[in-house]
Amino acid sequence: MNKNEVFGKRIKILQEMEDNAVNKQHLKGKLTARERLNILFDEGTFFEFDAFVAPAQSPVSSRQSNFGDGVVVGRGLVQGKSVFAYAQDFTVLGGSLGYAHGMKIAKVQEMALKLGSPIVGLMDSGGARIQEGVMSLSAYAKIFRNNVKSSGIVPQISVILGPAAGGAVYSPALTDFIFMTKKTSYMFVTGPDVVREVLNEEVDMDGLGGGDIHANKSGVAHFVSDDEEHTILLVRKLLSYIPSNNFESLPVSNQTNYYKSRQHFLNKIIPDDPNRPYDMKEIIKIIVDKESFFEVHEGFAQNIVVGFARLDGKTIGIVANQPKVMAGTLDINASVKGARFVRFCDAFNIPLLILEDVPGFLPGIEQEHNGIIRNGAKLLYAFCEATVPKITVITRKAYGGAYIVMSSKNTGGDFNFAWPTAEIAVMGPAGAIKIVNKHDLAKAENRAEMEKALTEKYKNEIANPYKAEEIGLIDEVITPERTRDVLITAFEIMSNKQYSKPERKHGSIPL
Amino acid sequence: MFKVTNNMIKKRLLIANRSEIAIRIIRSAHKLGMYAIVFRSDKEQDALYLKFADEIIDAKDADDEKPIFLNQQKIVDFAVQHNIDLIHPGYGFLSENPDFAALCIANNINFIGPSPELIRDMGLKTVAKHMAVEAGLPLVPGSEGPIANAQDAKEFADKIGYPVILKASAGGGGRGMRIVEKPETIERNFKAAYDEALAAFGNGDIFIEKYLQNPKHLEFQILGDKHGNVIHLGERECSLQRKHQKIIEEAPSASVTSKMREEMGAMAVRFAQKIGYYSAGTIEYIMDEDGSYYFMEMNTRIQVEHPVTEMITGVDLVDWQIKIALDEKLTLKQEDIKINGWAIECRVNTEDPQNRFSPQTGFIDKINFPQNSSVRLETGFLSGSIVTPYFDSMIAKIIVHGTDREDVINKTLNALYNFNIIGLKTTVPFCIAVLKHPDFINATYTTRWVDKVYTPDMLENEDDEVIAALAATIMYASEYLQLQGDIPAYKNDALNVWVLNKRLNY
Amino acid sequence: MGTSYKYKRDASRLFIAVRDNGKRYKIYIPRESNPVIDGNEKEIDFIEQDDFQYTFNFNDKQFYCELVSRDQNKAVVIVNGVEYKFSLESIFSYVRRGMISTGDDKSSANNIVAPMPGKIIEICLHEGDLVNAGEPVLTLEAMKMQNEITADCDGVIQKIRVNEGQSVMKDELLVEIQSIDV
Repeated sequence: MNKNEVFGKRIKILQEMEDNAVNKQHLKGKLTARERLNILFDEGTFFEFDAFVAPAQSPVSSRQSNFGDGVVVGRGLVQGKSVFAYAQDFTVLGGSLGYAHGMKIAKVQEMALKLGSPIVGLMDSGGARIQEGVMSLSAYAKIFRNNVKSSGIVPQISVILGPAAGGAVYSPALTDFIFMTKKTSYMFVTGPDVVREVLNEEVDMDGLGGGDIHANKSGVAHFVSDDEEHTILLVRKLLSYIPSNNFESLPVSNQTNYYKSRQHFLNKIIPDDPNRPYDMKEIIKIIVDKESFFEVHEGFAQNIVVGFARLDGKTIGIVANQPKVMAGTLDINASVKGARFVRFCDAFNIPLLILEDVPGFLPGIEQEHNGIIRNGAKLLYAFCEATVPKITVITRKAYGGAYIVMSSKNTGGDFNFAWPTAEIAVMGPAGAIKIVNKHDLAKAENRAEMEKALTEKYKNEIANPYKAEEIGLIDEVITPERTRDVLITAFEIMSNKQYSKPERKHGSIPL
Repeated sequence: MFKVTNNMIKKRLLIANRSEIAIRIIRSAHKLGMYAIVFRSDKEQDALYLKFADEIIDAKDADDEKPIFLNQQKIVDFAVQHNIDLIHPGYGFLSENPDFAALCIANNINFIGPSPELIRDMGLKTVAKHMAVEAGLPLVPGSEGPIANAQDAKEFADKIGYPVILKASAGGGGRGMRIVEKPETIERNFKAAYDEALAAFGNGDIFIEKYLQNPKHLEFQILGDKHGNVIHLGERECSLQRKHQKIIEEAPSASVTSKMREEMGAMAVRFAQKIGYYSAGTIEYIMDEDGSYYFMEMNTRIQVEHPVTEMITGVDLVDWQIKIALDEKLTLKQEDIKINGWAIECRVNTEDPQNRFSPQTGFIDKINFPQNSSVRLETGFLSGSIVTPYFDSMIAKIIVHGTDREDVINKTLNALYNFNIIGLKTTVPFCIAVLKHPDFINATYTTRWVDKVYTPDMLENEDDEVIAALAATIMYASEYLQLQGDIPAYKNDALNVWVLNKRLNY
Repeated sequence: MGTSYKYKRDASRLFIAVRDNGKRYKIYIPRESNPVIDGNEKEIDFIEQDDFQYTFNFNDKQFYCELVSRDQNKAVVIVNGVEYKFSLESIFSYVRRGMISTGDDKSSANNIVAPMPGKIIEICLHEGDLVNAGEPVLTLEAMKMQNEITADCDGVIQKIRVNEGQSVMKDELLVEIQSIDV
């Protein structure tokens, strides 16, 4: 064959492979690797390379039907931003990771790092390629190493659109955000078959590591969606909030609409009864730009709310207690969820807004025995370590250790505000008066009346924000309807914040 | 015309109530040249009614167990402190509490309503029924007093005919109440009712009545002065109820002929005169499917639905309540009361008719009420108001007047179509569905209608659904298409000198 | 060409709205003309949009829609006080989801095959375009005559298998169309 014929033939084979893939994947309700990339990228901007890489260690004859070795890699634009991506192809050798496949992935990872571009991995793979043995495992190792090398320098996003089992789960686990779909994606270290054999536990793939499990129970997945297309569009949405690398300035949106007529509702949103819950997300949605709140990790540890939003077009990260769930107490899962998000924002220079209404840490044997001490410490460490602008608004309760942890003044909060309904104290009035006024209460004729009077006194003298304002631990007590304006000004003031870091390799965050 | 009598000093009228009725009473107070004073409850600090009053008393009830409107002593103490001449209790709250009325009088405050004794007597169902019998009013067939035992119950039931209802003498709320359809179960049910009543009220007395399966609820408005003059102002039909809460009321009733009106009205007046009633009051009848009617009870207050009577008779009932309290003579004669046209009232409650009318609380972003010459609006809430869980869910009443029943139904539908609220769901779509339903148009609806006939999918219609689908799609598409599109919704700032520096030196 | 057809080219503007009671609406929102709902063009005017609501004018009536919430692709809308819940899909994801739940091939591809041997003179559309039933997709020259080959259903062009100038045989597969009648 002459050179032109060889050229044409390869293209034809690739086309056939793609057609074949379309048929196979569509039957299962899934998309092919290239289709997924075309949804991810702006139309016509996907530039593929290494499409004709052959599997390592395979006889020449079978090479031609396995072009690409089961992964499609390249670069495209996402709303004008340069992004690298790889998409595993389940229809070629089961999407299994062979050496060549792994090297392709490593190649885009290295390119992304060289150019300061985000990298998105669309995973759909049967796992390590058994025939390639140790070579396959070493390819994984290289990918993991690259994940860590890039961590905190470029955003890394994993989208699980099929199985990810065994070692394959560790690359996503090392990345910043994991997206999954319900019913068609799975992540587990050991699959149901082995689980059944070894432990006699009967469970199916979905129940062991499906989208819902990881979004709601294990917290491994940050986002879960019904359908592949929606999932990939969510990735586009996420990318619109974050910078391409840790030196680039944050994207600024030209839509700065907000719910002007609802600002005064903030004055009334806190119920009179301190034991009645309210939905913190309502407050968030009123303060930030219209429809700009993009919640992360929604199904997991719902007693804390984290996510991105925009204030006057500029991205901020939000960490907020949710009084509607578990009274907004901090527990192990919430601390870890918050800490992870804070550190991502810190790594990528995203300023933080902390909305606080926390009565304390969740008590109990389960929490203590599972290490609330070292896990709660993660959140504290993350806030103390973060050098991005940190602005706190205390809406209601802020008691004890939890008050300190939620970016209080002396942990490094840049601006700390409070609403008039705030109660800042070592503990709530009920508990406090039992300790401080123990003797008075024991001697009291009418205990209930005395309790009421003492609670009143406690609220007026100790557990109110004005005391903290006098000391300067609260910069100002603000009327709730002013919150948005105050925050926009505060973030603007802190926008050029600089802080020199001490000479050390890195701290020892409790893990 | 009201003439200011000896006393040229303006009278001070305190309203121990809130929301739309407070505004309503303020209107009458002003018409009659009085100062209107209201309470501000800590639970509703920005309520609309406060804007209409001449003076506001801060109730400081944040830490009290109950809101100011239920706190007899506190109300009276404030009233004395603020030199109040009259107190209008509105409806609900303490309006039918004889102790409160007595407390007012004991403190030299004119209580706008009947005497404490009348309130107390009419509050005891057995006393009221006894009086009714003496005045010659028909009662639902049943036992005169409590039934001694299950055997007697069975005998009675056999006599009056099934189904029957067993009711507790000492209280209501459904406790000690049993509906018995079959003779086989009467003894068992009697024992159960007795035990329940004993546990709930400390008194196991049970009486028995014929149970009307599909009754209509009719009530006659009466006005009486302190000089023995009593008139009636026709009837209202309030059969559109859910769990004993009225939602739509109309006056007059299509089930009442003029002959019946004369009869029932005369009975009502006779009853009122017999007990020496004065002020505004309502005599409730229950009407069976065959047209036979029976006395149920008497309410000794102004009622929520009083506007429909006012619309068809032209009489201002609240004005008269106040005048009567000040010893004025009733200048209206029965012959003066003419029924003119037809009126319908729809209560706007913040309840979700698609979800068992569960109450909704929260912020009203925007509310637009219908406005035209045949619509009368009584509202306690406007755009930006907040509906709290501390008080009941009725935020407004839309009352419409027409030339006849068909006309008023059409006008009411038009008014309801022009109603719009953003932020909370209301009973308005339910009212629309009712007014379009043949059972309402043919006036065959009964108090069981909502339970038996109404289903939430009556609220839906095809056009609305299509528009909803379109709106949902537009909402989704705008984000979807933006996400899909190439045009970034954002820009990247020019390099900040600092960042550039850092990049060079890091 | 195509101005009288209700579906303009852009398939990404076609959505399926499924209500919580199962009722389905196929809604096409063109850039500049009336929406097409379930195949019928409807004269619905978008009057106003402010913070919380849309107002539409349809059949001489005003419809007030409150946008209660949107969570990914689930939306809750209140029209004239009554709440309707929808789940929204693009046409592609809708067809794809149908396949996952039933597991069989519901692709109902309405393929265009060559009715006779000839040469492809002109291809009017591109892959991914929306096509209306009866709309010409390509022109085939055969027996010295130019034949317009039309789509037999409203659909999306999945794949164009031939090129302009190519000679084809009878029954050869020319174009794959995914019907949008779902």
